[in-house]
Amino acid sequence: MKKVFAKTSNVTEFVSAMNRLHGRQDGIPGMSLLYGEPGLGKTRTCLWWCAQNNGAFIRTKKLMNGRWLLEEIVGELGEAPQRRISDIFRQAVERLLERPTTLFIDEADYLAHDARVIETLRDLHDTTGSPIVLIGMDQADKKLLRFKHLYDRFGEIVKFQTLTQADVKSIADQMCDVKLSDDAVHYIHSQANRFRRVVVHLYKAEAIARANSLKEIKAEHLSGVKK
Amino acid sequence: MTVILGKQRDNREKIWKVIRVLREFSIGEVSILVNASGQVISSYLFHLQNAGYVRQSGLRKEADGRNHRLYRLAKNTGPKAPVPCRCIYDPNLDNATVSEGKDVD
Repeated sequence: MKKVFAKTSNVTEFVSAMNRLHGRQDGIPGMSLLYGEPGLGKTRTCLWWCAQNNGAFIRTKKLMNGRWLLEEIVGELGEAPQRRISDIFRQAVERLLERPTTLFIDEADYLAHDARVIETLRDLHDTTGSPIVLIGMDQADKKLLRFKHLYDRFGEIVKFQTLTQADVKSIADQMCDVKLSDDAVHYIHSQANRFRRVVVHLYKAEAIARANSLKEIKAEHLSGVKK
Repeated sequence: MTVILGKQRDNREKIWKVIRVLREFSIGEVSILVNASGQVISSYLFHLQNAGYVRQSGLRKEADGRNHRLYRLAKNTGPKAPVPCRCIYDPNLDNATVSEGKDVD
């Protein structure tokens, strides 16, 4: 099994959205929303992007208010937050103008209860032009729709979907050392539509291929294990 | 030489960034996200663990059916990655000396 970050259709869509966000023309808003059910790898994908590129990752907390959020942002940008909230905001703006960084706000739904917090992010984006990506659960788009001014600034909205059969095939092609036949891919997809479960099946397929010196794994080999 | 050092620093920054976000992580997990070999990750984690930045927090059975060691970040000091350096600590003088002869407090 190859240890690589498998690029599913969700990941490709996210990456192209990020490319569009960074190559956007003046006047086009640079905020983005990424949402989907839990367990689809939203945080992982953003973290992977963040590790390869220049990004700061902020995990929100349920109790977070505007001040706390700004303190976290300034801390992530490498500065010690000052005392007054106006100074902290200024610090954040200065740092972002000096060195544009994409901000990832994880679990942004937590902030949806307080308009002032969420609008602070909009202010930060408007003053600096720095891209901000909000990551939310399923229905996050509906929750944030209330904030009209914020919603208008979402240049890109990406919804993470459960894995399709084509995704399972592409994961197998990228990670698995043995070849899987189409019916095997279909079988795995019928059994699992989450990334982690698919990988478990791929490991099984590799073990079967090794034990039986097989070049290609078919559905009957995989379903045989169950019995 | 500078290229190698640059790459090392780059890897450290990436690893530090990733482990600060993941609450609990295995070496394999980090190596996929950072796109570096498991050896690079474990050697940096070894230094971090010695200095008390991360601690081992148990085992988890992963997709390959084996148990993998889990780590947890114990000291989240900020966005800049801690730099391991070779030094000798002298309890008589209560200071640490880097191998080149510079003092570290």
